Amino acid sequence: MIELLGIERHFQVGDETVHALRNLDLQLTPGDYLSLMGPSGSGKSTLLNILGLLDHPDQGHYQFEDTETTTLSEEQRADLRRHQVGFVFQAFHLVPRLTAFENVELPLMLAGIDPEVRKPQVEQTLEALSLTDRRHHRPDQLSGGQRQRVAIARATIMHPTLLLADEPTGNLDKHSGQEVVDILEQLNQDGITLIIVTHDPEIGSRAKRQIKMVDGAIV
Amino acid sequence: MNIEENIHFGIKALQGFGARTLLMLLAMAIGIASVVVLTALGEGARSYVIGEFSQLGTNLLIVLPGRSETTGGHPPLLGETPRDLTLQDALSLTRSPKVKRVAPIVIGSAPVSSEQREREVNILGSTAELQPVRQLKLAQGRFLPSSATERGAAVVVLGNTLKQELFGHRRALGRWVRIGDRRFRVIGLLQAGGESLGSDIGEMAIIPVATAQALFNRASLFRILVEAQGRENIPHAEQVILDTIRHRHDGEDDITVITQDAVLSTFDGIFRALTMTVTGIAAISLAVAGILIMNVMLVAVSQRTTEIGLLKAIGAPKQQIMQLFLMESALLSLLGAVIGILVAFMAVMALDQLLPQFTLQIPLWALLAAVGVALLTGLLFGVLPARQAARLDPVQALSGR
Repeated sequence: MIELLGIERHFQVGDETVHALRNLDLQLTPGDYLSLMGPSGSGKSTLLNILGLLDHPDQGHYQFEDTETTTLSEEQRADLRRHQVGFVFQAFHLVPRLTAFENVELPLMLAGIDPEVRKPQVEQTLEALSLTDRRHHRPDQLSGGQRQRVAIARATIMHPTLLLADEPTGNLDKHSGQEVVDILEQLNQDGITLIIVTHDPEIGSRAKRQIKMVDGAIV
Repeated sequence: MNIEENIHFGIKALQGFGARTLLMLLAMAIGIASVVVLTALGEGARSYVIGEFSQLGTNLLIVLPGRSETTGGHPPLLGETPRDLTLQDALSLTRSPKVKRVAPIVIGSAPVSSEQREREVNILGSTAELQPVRQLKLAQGRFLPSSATERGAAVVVLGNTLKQELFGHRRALGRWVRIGDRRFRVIGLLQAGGESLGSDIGEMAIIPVATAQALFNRASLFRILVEAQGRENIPHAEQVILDTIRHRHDGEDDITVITQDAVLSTFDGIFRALTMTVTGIAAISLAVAGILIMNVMLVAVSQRTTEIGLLKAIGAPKQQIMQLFLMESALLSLLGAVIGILVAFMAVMALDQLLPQFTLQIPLWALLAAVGVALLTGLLFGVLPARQAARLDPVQALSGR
């Protein structure tokens, strides 16, 4: 259960104050599939960052399951991100010098999980995303679709309850994009709460709940 | 994330930026190598000087006439003439059980001639005891007879340079030489020995002390060399000497006793200070390397902003990100230290070849200190970039700003 109440977020750009989010309310139930659409600068990414605990609202309440997150410390929010939230980015954000395997392993390693425990876990996740034969390749040796699949593997390896995808198909061709969305929807069917930010109406329209944003508010 | 994984991650990161890493290692290696090499040079100089002094003999005390101590107060208006040291003073010292050997010394200069060749040389008057005290080695013949202490025999032991000058390759043993206006029979020749603090024993002629006193018409001794009965007895021997001579000189403390230990420890101290100074100067290059590390790590942080953002997004807390970047600087400095030490070993080996009379060695403490200082520098100068990385705002970092 995720609940946003009266969220405000503004940025100072020069002399101007830009309202990225205005008095925004949103409720999600576990297993929701939500698409966020809207023009650039409408506050989609800001909302996503706040949902992912990367950003902090200036005002309002954010209830994540039973936790009021707005009063948490930086460390506590990092801990919540580590165990509950997965991110998939448009630019993949794989660590270039690490292999696919090591990239997927990274969250487990940072969480201090034993190598003997985590290796089979990584293998399994790579297998599920049909990346087994690519596991020793570095990102620059992978196609865009494969890179995004590695990124999804990394985002889901800790079994989060919330998966946030910011334009996951933005850098991909139609076919690979389709593949990535299929994978994300499969994960949603397995129970994960999925939120996709997209410009592509075709992808947006597949979500069970569709939200349009304009000027920092849901319309 | 355990330390092993942290190291592994750090190594991967350093490999990812090869050229920069190499430059950094070079800077660190130069700093470490210069510290280690200069320390080895300083230590080499120290052990060289100490070695030279040790050649004088072991457990040695030197008795000089007159007091050379500053006691404060006004200097005497009229020169105080100290009482001379006499041969009897020297002989009286032999009675103490703390004293092993006593060698009185008279020094003067006189012409020495054999046939048509003549040299003005330093004449050393002493006793049979001089040989063990100064650890002189004979090439031929024997040293001064032990019976000749008070009775002046007309015999001489020649240093090897002097023998060459007077006799060339001809036989010298048993021949007669003229010293001043007296004739002496050559009874022994010294081995070519190392120079000891400039005074080349090879250019000297050694004659019995009584003969020397007669030759130079002098009743006093230049000094007395005393060998103590073992190292632990040196302070006792010093006290015995002072007491004995005071007693003989009507209660006047008019001699100075220099222990070899005191001389040695003075030089030891001087050279240690010198080594420290030189090392300190070299350590400046380490500070420069440290600043370079900081610079490089700052660049690394700004180049890897998105990576840091990602680490934050997948839940790495501040302290973990700091740890990752600190590990990188620590690895850089440690690796640099190892390379620097290897370079230093090669340089020291090369210098050792070039300066054969100088034994160079890298002291263990210098190695440990070099590695320690390198690590400390790396961590110290790595803190600022690591903190900067840890403080990045994840949203801005992910967008590459």
